[in-house]
Amino acid sequence: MDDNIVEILMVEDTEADAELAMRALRKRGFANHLVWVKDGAEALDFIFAGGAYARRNMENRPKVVLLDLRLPKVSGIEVLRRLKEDARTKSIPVVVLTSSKEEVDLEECYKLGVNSYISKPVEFDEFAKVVGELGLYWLLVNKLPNS
Amino acid sequence: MRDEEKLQVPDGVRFVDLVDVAGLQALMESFNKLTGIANGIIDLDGVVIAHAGWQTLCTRFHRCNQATLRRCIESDTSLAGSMTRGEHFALYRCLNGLVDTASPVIVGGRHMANVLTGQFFVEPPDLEFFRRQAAEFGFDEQAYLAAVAEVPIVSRERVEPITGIYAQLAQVLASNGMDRLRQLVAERELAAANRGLESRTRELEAANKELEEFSYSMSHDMRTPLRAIDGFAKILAEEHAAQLDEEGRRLLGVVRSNALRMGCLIDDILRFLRVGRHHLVCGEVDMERLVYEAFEDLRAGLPYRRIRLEVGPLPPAWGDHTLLRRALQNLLANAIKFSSAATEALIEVGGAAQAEENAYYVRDHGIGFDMRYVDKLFRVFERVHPTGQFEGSAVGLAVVKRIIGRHGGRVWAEGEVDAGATFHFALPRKGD
Repeated sequence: MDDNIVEILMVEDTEADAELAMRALRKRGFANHLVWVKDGAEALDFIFAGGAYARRNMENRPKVVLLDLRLPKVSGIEVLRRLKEDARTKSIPVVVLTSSKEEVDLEECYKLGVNSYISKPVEFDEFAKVVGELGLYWLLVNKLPNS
Repeated sequence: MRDEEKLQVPDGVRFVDLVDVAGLQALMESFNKLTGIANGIIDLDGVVIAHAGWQTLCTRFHRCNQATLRRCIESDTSLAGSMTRGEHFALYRCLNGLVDTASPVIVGGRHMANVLTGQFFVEPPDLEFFRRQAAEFGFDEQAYLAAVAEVPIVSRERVEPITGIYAQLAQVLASNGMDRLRQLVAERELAAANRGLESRTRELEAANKELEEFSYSMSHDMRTPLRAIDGFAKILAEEHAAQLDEEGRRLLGVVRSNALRMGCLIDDILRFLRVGRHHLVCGEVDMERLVYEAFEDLRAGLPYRRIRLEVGPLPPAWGDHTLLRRALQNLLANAIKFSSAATEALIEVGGAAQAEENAYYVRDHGIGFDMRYVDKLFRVFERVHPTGQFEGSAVGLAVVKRIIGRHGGRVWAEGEVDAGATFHFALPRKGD
């Protein structure tokens, strides 16, 4: 897949969750330009065109980042901080999609400028619905400043 | 006395810890005024506990010269030595020419102090002896003899009753000292026991917290695989249904419904544990308003139920708004759940301010419960009614108990089968 055309960047280390989310998005037709990375370090490489993604054009920003919080290597909170404190990336919408219902995580994410914070429902139907609506909102409804 | 023999004086306890020093000092002064004789109480380390009327001859001369001081100490030691032989008192002519008596104070079998009296003569002094002493040790003879002249002469007949009084005093001190010692030992044991209890409490609290943390993160982590079980079972049912027969599809349904049930259980555990993690922010809470708010929230989810809520005047509570609201919501939900859906359900909420706490209750007229099982009501996942008969969480009342417990309050319930139930809780008043 061409890394330069990306709509959704999904940062998720749990394969089952990633697969379920991708299925839900695919059903709604939002998975054509989805990139899935499995840890925080790879997410930062992708966004800032570093490491294995050095040849990627950073200008091609995803329309939304779906970010899990508990990630290997670099945590989701850290990824969010780096994105939101950099002028080049701070307008990328970040949706935290996590199983954490911790208030501290929620508060921290909002302090850092998260665009949305969603607890993953246990029930698959609910989960699929939430993910599908996320795709609809951020890919079709939401307007971003022209890059 | 047998128990006195058993009670040892613990290390670090001094005689001064066992007596009323100010009282003894006053007594010594009174005795001195009465008899004109020097007296004092000295522990075995040489610490003077109380004294009065000490002779200039001793303090200014004998104890100020190296050679005569050596004689004083030798005399004291010899006197103390005779004490340990079990005499009630000893009469002794000191090496510097005066007479001393001493009575031992023996507490718990240990010789701890001496009641001393002395520095007197039992017959007119031999002035030649003192002149020789003045010359031998270089004392100013005139001043030295003047000090000798100050020393009282006590007849042998008087010495006996006087020393008898001191011997009795020594026994009273020993007996009082024993009482004080018993008290001291008891206090020490109590303090040690309390310290042990406190450290055990701290250990238990830490262990409990650790266990809660563990339960919390475990419950949390179980949600992820559970979502996969439910999700992939759903996908199997939807996308591969053609390859399954009816029994296969039914089995998949069982998998999914159990996954959902487990999800509910996990959410309940998390709800319960979150009460313990919540940081209490206490203030005055308008309980009437809170009841109406909680009720409106519940009613929004139950549009087909007919419910009449009667709220009596409620005293304001001192507590955490968020948690108290949750407690009321759970109690109201419980009352609605166990009231008949066929007719209008009546739920009454009341309360009263009492001396030390404010008490509240939520009463329903539903199916009630058997008082034999009242203890089970507030436990996590304990049900008084069978699963399936009444939907939903079996954690609501446990959460109520935990919330009220965190406020230092208490919960209790009354009920009768088919005659409704009343759930009470009481919260300490502010400042209690």
